[in-house]
Amino acid sequence: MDAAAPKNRFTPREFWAWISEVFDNYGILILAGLLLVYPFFFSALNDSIIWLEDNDWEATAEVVAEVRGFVPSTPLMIQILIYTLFGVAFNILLGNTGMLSLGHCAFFGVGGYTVGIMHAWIKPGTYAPDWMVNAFKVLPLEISLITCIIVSTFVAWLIGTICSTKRGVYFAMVTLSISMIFYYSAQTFDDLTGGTDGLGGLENMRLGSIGLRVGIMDANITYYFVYILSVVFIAAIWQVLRSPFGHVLRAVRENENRARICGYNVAKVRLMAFTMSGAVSGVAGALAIIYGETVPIENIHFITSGQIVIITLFGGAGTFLGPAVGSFIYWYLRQLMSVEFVKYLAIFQYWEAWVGGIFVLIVLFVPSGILGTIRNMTLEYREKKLLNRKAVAEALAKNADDETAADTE
Amino acid sequence: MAAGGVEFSEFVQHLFLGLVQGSFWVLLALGLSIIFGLMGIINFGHGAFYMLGAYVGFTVSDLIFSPFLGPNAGFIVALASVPIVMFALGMVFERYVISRIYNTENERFSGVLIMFGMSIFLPDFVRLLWGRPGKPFNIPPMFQFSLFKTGTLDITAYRSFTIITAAILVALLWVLIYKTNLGMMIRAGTNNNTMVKVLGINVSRIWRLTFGLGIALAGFSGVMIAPLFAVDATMGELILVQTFIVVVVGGMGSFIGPVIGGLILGQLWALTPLVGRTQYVVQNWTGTVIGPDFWEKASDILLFIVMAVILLLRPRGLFGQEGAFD
Repeated sequence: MDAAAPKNRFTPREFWAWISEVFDNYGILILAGLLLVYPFFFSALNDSIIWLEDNDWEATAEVVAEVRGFVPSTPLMIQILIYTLFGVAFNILLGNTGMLSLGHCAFFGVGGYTVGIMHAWIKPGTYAPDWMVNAFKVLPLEISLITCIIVSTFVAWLIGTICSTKRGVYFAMVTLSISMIFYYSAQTFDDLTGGTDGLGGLENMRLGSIGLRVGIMDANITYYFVYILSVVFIAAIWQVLRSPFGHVLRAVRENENRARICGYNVAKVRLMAFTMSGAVSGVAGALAIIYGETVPIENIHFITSGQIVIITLFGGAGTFLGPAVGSFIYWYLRQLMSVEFVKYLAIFQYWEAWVGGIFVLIVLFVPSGILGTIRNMTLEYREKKLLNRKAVAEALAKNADDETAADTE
Repeated sequence: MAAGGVEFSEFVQHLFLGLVQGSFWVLLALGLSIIFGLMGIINFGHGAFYMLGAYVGFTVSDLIFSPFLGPNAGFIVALASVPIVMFALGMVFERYVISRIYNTENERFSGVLIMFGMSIFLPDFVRLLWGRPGKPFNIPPMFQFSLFKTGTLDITAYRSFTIITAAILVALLWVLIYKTNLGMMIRAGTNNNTMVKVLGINVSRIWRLTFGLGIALAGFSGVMIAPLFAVDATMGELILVQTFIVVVVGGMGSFIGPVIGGLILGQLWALTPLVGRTQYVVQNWTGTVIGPDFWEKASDILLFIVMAVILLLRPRGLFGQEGAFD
């Protein structure tokens, strides 16, 4: 009986449960804090190599340089941040509303192409009128980002109107098909979009209001630009999911008919969730092209949808921070495969095969993702503990009853 | 439409090409529709298995049999063996991968996700095995002639052969589904799976057979279309989406839906490039005349527009059963 009610509060299981609880409540702050100082860490690593070489510690410098190959670089962290934002936006649908959209590459690509086309084509000597060119010279990135939000919201609303009344797997099929319109349009109108080569030659990548040049010139500045925007949008989504609206979303996921009977307009809720998710995905798509200053056509291909589904599922579809974990693991592994592992085994250059294979394995064996599994384990553990306590209390009560009964006899 | 700058023979030629393309869509859409009807899984890997079928056919005919038997016999061996190989592959895949997710939480999502993962996995896996560049696949010599040829009209033997084969296959499928015991069980399972189980029929065996059948159809279409285009790892992507469009337009849950949908969309797809050559002049907003180049490329996009319109006006498709997706 004493064993069932542990006196020692910090068993290992208890510790992990505690970690999980802390991560649930403060994880977003911890991650944001870590990511805030990441570029300093990485440049310190770079500087240390230079310092070691300058001070005749070549052997040590080589070791540190070898280690640096396994540390994610700042540009990789930009990618991870962007896909975290994309994944969190995607998770509004998959994790919270229970809609599996395979067409999110459309928003990602449309966001990217909106910004890309504006930066590539709004200049003197094109169809763009003078007032537009002049305004764009003053505030280039502000104008293109706001346009991008408007355009991707509109596109998401349009697609949502067509397909948000569909359910389950049919929804997945329709969104995939519709998203491919944008891929083939980008291929077809290659004068405007650059076709299969992607759109290059983006100019004016700067924030006019504070005179900041972002883009390929400086990874650190781009990192903080992406960081601030991602944090703002992720915090907004966090707030939305905590609001009554977020609860309605989960009600629709759990039981649509019941939500309808409770008086919610399910079609409208689904459309709103879809539009919100698509709009933020468009912002992520715009951020994705800022560092490279090119728009690759792969951004709008359904492989991108596959990536984001993998990232979300791998991290845990029902959890808020799942996409962050998934995005980190996905991009880190992919970088390691294509840069480090491929030195030893040529088979690692076929990364799509690895991604697809791992994806199938995740769906088969870890369907609730990393954070989801940890959370389930914790819940199970707590439930068991509660049951134990209940059992102990009942046993004690029964004992007491027996004793009183014996006394009265 | 045949008026203006378009000759009648050119119009007929495009009708013919549309029929060829449409018959492939019909075959693929039927496979997709059968698997969906029974198992509730939309096979996102259909295009990938179609591509795999073409590669298997290439291996069987060009690498194994043609050197001994000549290209004609090699091709026939490939046509005969690919469905068998793909049927076996589909059954093995169902047994060892898909059957794991039955009766789990979110069964249908998991099935879709597994097949979606396969559609990412297989093209790169094929590149790993057969190399990155596509493979040439020639029309076998016995089909290298024209049945009928005047001016721009050229009814080639191989294309006619594919149309006839597809028609025979569709007829056989109809017989299989509506006239045999297995077909009866498939239809019953589509309607009410639990009830079929209760009647003491081995449902899992029927699911396995059906999945194998769908994959075999996809592989067979792949090897049949291979001589018309080169064999390439990305050949399954566009046709997968086009098959989805056919299924959405034709409607799921009926046999006639995918057939009619495929044929109509095939004609639309083939006739769109002709618009650019008619007497009617279309201008865009800057006043520039939209030339034939645009219409050549517009046919892929037109299909999507048709799908969007159908989804808005008649969500279940032209011949679909109401509530097939709820």
